[in-house]
Order: sequence, then C-alpha cells, then structure tokens
Amino acid sequence: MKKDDIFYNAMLARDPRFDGKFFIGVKTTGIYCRPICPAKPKRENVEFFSNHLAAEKAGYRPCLRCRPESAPQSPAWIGKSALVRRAIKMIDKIETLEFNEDQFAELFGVSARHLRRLFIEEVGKTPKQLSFENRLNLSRQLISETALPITEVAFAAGFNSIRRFNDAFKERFKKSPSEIRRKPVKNESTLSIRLAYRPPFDFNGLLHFYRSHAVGQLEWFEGGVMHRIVEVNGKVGQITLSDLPDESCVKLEIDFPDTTALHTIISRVRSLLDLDSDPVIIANVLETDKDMKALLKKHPGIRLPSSWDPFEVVVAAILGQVVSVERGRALVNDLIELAGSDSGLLRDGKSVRLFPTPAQVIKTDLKSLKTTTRRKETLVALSRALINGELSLEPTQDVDSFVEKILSIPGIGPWTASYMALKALRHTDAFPATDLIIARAIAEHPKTKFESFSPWRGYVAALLWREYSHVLKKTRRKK
Amino acid sequence: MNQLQWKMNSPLGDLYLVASEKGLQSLYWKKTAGIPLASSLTGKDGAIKILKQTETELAEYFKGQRQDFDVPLDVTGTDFQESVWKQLKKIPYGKTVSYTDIARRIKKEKAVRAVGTANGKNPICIIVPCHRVIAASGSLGGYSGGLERKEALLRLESTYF
Repeated sequence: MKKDDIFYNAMLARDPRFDGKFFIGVKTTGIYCRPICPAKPKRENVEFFSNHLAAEKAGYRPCLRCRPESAPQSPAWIGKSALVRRAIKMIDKIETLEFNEDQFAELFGVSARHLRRLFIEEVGKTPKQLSFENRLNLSRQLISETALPITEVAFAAGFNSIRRFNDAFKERFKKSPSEIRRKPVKNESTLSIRLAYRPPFDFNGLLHFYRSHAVGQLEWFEGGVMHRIVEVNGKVGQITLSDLPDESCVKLEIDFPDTTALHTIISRVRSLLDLDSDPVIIANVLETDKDMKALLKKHPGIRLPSSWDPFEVVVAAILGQVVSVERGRALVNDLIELAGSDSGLLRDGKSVRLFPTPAQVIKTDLKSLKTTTRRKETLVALSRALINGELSLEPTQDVDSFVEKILSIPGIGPWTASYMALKALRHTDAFPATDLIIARAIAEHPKTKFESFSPWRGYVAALLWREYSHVLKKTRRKK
Repeated sequence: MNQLQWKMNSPLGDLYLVASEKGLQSLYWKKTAGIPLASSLTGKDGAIKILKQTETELAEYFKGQRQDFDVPLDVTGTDFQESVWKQLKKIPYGKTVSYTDIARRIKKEKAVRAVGTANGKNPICIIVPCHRVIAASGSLGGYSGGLERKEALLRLESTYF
C-alpha cells in the first residue's frame, strides 16, 4: 500500500488518532481539511500534507466545517532547520498581541531579514503573517463555539479596529465573521471552547497527578473536573477543565475579565494537559519493551503532567526536596499565604492568594516558612536568577544549558534539575532516575533498558509515576 | 445541587450573591470562584428566583426602605457558628451591640474571641447583620469587606456618626 493510500483510508475512517498528523487538500475546491472532516472527496481529487502550513503554502485555505486550525498541533513538526522549528513553537506560545519582527528575531540571535527569508523558504510565510493567522484562527474558534460578541472576538485576536478585523477575516476564510456565527450573541461571563487531542488520552492520570500536587487554594477538583484560578497580565479569572472522550476534546470553560488574554490561556492549557502529544509515536517506542507495553496497556495515552506556570513547578520542586508530596504541598501553600497577593476571589468565604512572583519571593521575609535555611536560600537565589535574566523557564530553550545553569544554584542537585527540565521545560527526554518512586520502579523492571526510550523517557517517567506512586504510599503506611 | 452567583452593583461596590434553589447561601463583597455567574435574572430556576428576591430586598435596604429581610437562607456552619449567627439576626436595625453582648446572649461569656471569629465567618453580610457588632470600647472592630463599608452600613442605618 502506498503512503497516500494509508492517508486516504485514515481519512475515510475519520480516525481521530491521525488528527493533526496530516491534512487533506481538495483540489476541486481549494480547501484543506482534517482527517476527521465529514466531507469525503474522491481519491483523485485530493493530495496530502504533513502539516497545515504546507497545505497553506500550496495555496489551500482552511475548511469551514472541520476547521483545521483547531486540530491538535504537531509535536514533532519537522521544519528543515531547528531555528524555524523553535521559532514556530515560540509564535504559538507568544503572549503579547503586538508582534515585532526585530525583537522576535533577536530572541534567536539572527536578523529579522534572515529569519524572514528562512520562513518564506520553509513555510511560505513570514513570522509576522504566521502570528497574524494564529490570531485569526483563534477568532474563528471563538466565533463558531462561543457567544462572545464579535467586537470582543476582535480584541481577543489582537485587533483594535473592527473593520480591519472583518476585512482580514474575510480575506482568510472567504466569509465574514457574522456569516460564521451560529450561536446568538450573549454576554455570558463564562466562555466554553473545545480543544482537540489525539486519543488515547489519559485524562484521569493527569487529574490524579494535579490533584495530589494541587497548588495552594488555586486548584481544586470535583469528580472528573479540574478548576484553577489563573492570573494573566495582572488580571485574575478562573478556568474549568473536563474531558469529552466521545469527541476527543477537552472542554475548557474560561471566566476571565479580559478577552485579550484568551490566546495565552488556551496555549497554557494545551501544555498543561499535553494536548499536542502524539500517543502513537510514543507507544511505538515504549512498546518495544514487554514490561512497558504492559504498563502502557493499563494507562493508554499517558501524558506529561506539568503545571499552569513553570515557576510554580520549580518552587514546588525545591520545597519538595526530601519531604513527602503532602508535606511539600503544605509548604507551597504556606509560601503562597506568606508571599502571594490577594486574587480578589473567594473560596468557602476565604480570600484566595495567588502564587507569588519571583520578585515577591525575594521581598518576603521567609523566616516563618517551616523549611531549612538552605532551601530558603535556594528559593531566593533561583528567584533572583530569574529576575536578572540569568535563568529562564522558557520551554523553547536548550535543555542542556538550562540544566547546567540551574545546577550552579546552590541547593539544586541532579534530581531537582532533571525534575525541573521535565516538568517546567516539558523536555520529553528528561528522566529523574534518582527520584524515590522512579528508582523503586526501575528496580521492579530489571530487564528494561530505560535509555532505549530516548527521546521519550519523560513519558516513561510519567508512566512509572502513574503506576507506582500509590503503590509506594501503601507499602510505606504498612511500616 | 444547582448553585448560581449574581453580581449586584450596590452603592458600596459590587456585591456577590450565591444561591441554591433552597435559599441564599452567601453574600460577599468578593466573587466566589467555582460558582457560575448568572447572565440575567430571568427564568424559572429556583436559584434565580432567590437571587432576584435578594437583589430587590437589598436595593430597598440601600434606599433606606427596608429594615428586615424575608429571603430564605441556606447556610450551614458548626453548632457554635449557627448559634452566633442566630443572635446576629436578632440585633435590630439601627442598633449596635458588642462582641461581649453576643457571647453573653449565647451564655458563653468567655467565648468573646470565638464569637468574633464566628462573626467573621458569617457568609451572608448585611442580611445577617454582622456589621452591627462593634468592639466593647466603641471602636468599629473588624470587617471582612473593609472598615469603610462597615462604617457606611452603620451610617446608612444612622447609628454611627
């Protein structure tokens, strides 16, 4: 069977596991679709693209039914150069709405002109156009899934002028915003949108992890639902996450006072739940080992838990050194009460405090925090390095140099560094082998060659934690 | 249980009302996370009716046209807290009492501080008038919504100048 036939069969089956892994260009209409699109074009009229950018480069525009821009993004999208790959990731994550090409290029140590040239060559678009399109894509999702007024949608997409927004929208989608609107406009406080993932998806595993590491009063859980109080650009709101397995989507409810933060919130949720992960690629590697295959069968679709904000993870990692998960959580809670600012929201009648910023941590007298002086000093040194810009928690940076830098902070050893690389930078190959639970799990599988799972050893760690964290707890209690 | 929240603009700032179909559950000067905010007060939902009644009664109160509230309450606390809140309800409009008075009324003279804490945990401000409790010395004491609001409420009831 030819590769294109596999694509065509996957398309006919509307198999969500392939969602976002390839796109179908329909020559007769000039439109490109996701594999799950209900439209079924003839074999001779289609061509296939490995990513949406290639389809657009070939002159196709996105389908109005399946909305290719809402497909899970490709985790292993292979641009020709690492630079373009990193830059594209960065564009997807960028938090401000203004896009300055010179500043952007500076992040990668190249000139804007050079970066533009590379982009045109590989993607067919400039970084600025790409960032612009991402925002238009977001606006279309908001128009078709929510009741947010179109003016607000335009703000959320970074437009200041409705007319410019309407023109740009029509240019890209060939229809005006109001033609796409399905729901009557209501000024509801909560927006609900769907974020697609590739099944299988171990939502319960993620929930289990986040529940046992719940951050202060900022996160809480009811049944299969996760709530989180979030702060973006000085404003505070709340998100709610639940799984819709029948639709291969996560339902994200956002209650936030400023729509311009929606883009940031969505991209943070995508990484919080590791939605762009490709379970098939990971399973292919992990299943080469009998033991891991059995574990993966128990927990299909394992994802990398991380956190809402990388600073929260690194702080929790330091305060969690040598103590139990519960004790670590209590210390994080104490730090929040001590150094965090008031969120303006209540839970059970009590004011909830936000996670402190690095600046707040160094300004606070940590005397009453019940941990060692050494750990407090580490906390302050780390916060200071982040403020000075000596250290960054940006996920697109080079992991080895991050580990090297963070190890130079007194009180941070290999376990903490590797844990931070995994949880804060979401480095898929980090493997904290000296972790209490992981070390024990490794002993349970003497035949398994853990180094063979590269570059997915982070997922192996997630799998081992998922399987063994409660086992270890139980045996501890017996003693 | 179906809970709903409603933001009311009062002369003293935004008030957040939370109700179930059984009654009003809380009334705070801050929003409670995790409870959906109603987009309007139309419809036959039980909680909506409670919210609507509360808003109407509060509006009358702020205009000085109402002294007692009729809206049903749906609150639970410890036995001690509930006994304190019951005493709060008995403080008449325009009067103030001290924390010591409340302690005496529930026959626990020494529990003055506990009374203060239970008072502070009152989930329904204004309607359960915790603002009418002041320190024995005559100073205002504390208030979860800020002392300015406590003062403004007492001034509205014209007992504090």
